[in-house]
Amino acid sequence: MNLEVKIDELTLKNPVMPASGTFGFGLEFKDIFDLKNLGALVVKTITKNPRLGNRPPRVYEVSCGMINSIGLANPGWDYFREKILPQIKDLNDILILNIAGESVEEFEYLAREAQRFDEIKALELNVSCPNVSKGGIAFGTDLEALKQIVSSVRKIYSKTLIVKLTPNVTDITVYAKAAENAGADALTLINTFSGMVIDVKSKKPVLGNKHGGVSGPAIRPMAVKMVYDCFKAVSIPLIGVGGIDSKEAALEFFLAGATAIQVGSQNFVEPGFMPRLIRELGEYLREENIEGIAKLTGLAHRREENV
Amino acid sequence: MQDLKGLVVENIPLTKEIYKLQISVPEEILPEIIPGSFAMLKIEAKGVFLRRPFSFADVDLKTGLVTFYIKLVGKGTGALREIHPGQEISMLLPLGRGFTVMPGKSLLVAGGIGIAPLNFLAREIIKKGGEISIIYGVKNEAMFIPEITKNFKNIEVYSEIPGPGKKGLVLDGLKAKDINSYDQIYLCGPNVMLQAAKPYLQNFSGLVEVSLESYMACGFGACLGCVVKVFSNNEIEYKKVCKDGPVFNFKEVVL
Ligand SMILES: Cc1cc2nc3c(=O)[nH]c(=O)nc-3n(C[C@H](O)[C@H](O)[C@H](O)COP(=O)(O)OP(=O)(O)OC[C@H]3O[C@@H](n4cnc5c(N)ncnc54)[C@H](O)[C@@H]3O)c2cc1C
Ligand SMILES: Cc1cc2nc3c(=O)[nH]c(=O)nc-3n(C[C@H](O)[C@H](O)[C@H](O)COP(=O)(O)O)c2cc1C
Ligand code: FES
Repeated sequence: MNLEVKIDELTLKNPVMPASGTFGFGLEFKDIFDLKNLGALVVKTITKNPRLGNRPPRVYEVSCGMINSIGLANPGWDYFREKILPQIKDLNDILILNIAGESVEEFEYLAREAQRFDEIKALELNVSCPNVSKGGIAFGTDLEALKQIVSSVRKIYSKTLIVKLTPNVTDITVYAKAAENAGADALTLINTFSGMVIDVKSKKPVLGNKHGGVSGPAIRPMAVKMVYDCFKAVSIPLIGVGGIDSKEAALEFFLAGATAIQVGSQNFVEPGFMPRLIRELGEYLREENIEGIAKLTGLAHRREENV
Repeated sequence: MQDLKGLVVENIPLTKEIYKLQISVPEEILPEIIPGSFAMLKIEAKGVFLRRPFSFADVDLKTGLVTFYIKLVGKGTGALREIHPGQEISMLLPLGRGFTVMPGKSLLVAGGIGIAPLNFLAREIIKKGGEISIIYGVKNEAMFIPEITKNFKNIEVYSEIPGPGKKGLVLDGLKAKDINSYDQIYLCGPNVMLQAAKPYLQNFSGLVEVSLESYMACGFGACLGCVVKVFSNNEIEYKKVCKDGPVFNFKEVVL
């Protein structure tokens, strides 16, 4: 049995990695397990300048999941490079830097910086952030802005470029194709769904920011379908994310077309979930006599054709 | 932090709204549990996704038991009330930065279920040879834990509506005290209580610490969901209640 997968030029020893923003910089999990076990380490979104983030409350539980409006709180690139990167560069062989910007220039700036650091093996673009020059609408919901960001970063960044798409669009395959054509090497599907919770007692939105992003098992069926649809639409590898809380949930994503998967909210509930998942996926391959996890990718499509 | 299984030893109602949960945990972890620290409990119930934070109200090194006083609030605390002795419960612990135990005379100010961490703190201070006085304010009979008053000599109870102790608020208790006769003050209670107490304690020269609550997703610093505003070094900052707290310098928190 073989858990190895390939994403562009990178070979991951297994297909399991944390979803950005749900794993800090990895340091909080060091007590629980050896991060070397992970397929890759994906860090919390970094922006050019430090961001305080949104006003609290920032998290709340919803049926089968949660909603958050953290607001990309992070210490900024300079602090990350000086203080955090040295601490985390040896935690895993494959460090993926997730970045966001308020403008195309900020994305370009960060891509140029990331290019200089050998320990950063790939970039993941978080395009769910607001585009300041367009009144704050998310880059990832504006097809032209998305193309512009991906192609500008592509010109600067020669290593593996992953684009993490937002599900808050009418047809995600259109955005997936646009990102592929603009030079993405892989896609992460998906970020959180836009949502809101209202406190009936106080008659006000619960979150300080009023609205936020929904994650957890509640969004899994939608995430699986987006992976399934994009698998048909593009030919670059897909990284599936959304509500993975069990081996079965992870398998759904592989069968739908994912090459690798990310675990988000479940890290909060069970900080040792990812190593358990890796173990269980290995056992599954052995029991089912499947020679490699890569064999599962997109299998649900082949079954469909046979019917 | 460890993710481990505890064994429920006792779960009994103390009042209509409060119950006491005692859990046996592995011996090695006990010395790491300090007053003000907390655990994230996994509640196996329909519709409960995130863990719930609860402060340690006591730790017994001899029996290996940890105690929680829990107020019935919603689905999680409702389901946890039904857990039986003999059942296992998954816990992340110990979490957070606890109280600074100091010698001399300490005043402990508790509002409602805020008594939970202060009960543990009071025992620890006494164990270390310090002196304590407690002001324990509750809303009504249902929020009052009688066994607390049996544990300590210097404890004054205030009840908002006629019930146990004197009628009045925590603030009435505070006003009646010569606070400058204490070396340090510790608080835990609802925000309204903390807001009311703030002006009274602003000029107190000793250490004032508060244990805060906020809505948490992870409890160990990974989500950045639990922040509160803190004013320190002339700067407004967001600090994580779960990791930088839950115990903060009272004078620095922006309530
Ligand atoms: C560090 C810390 C220590 C705590 N220690 C104790 C303790 O020792 N004993 C105790 O009884 N409680 C304690 N709490 C509060 C306790 O965690 C919440 O009451 C509990 O999570 C509510 O869960 P629920 O599922 O019953 O309520 P839900 O069904 O989730 O919510 C019901 C209502 O309670 C509110 N609520 C939920 N969680 C919180 C919270 N964390 N703070 C304030 N309001 C909340 C919600 O906004 C909602 O209106 C502590 C909280 C923190 C952050
Ligand atoms: C608290 C929280 C913070 C997040 N922060 C980020 C972030 O900084 N950057 C990002 O690209 N995605 C962020 N996400 C989205 C996750 O990476 C993931 O796409 C989403 O949560 C869906 O996965 P899940 O259902 O497994 O949680 C965050 C999600 C949560 C719950
Ligand atoms: S609760 Fe997640 S960082 Fe504090």
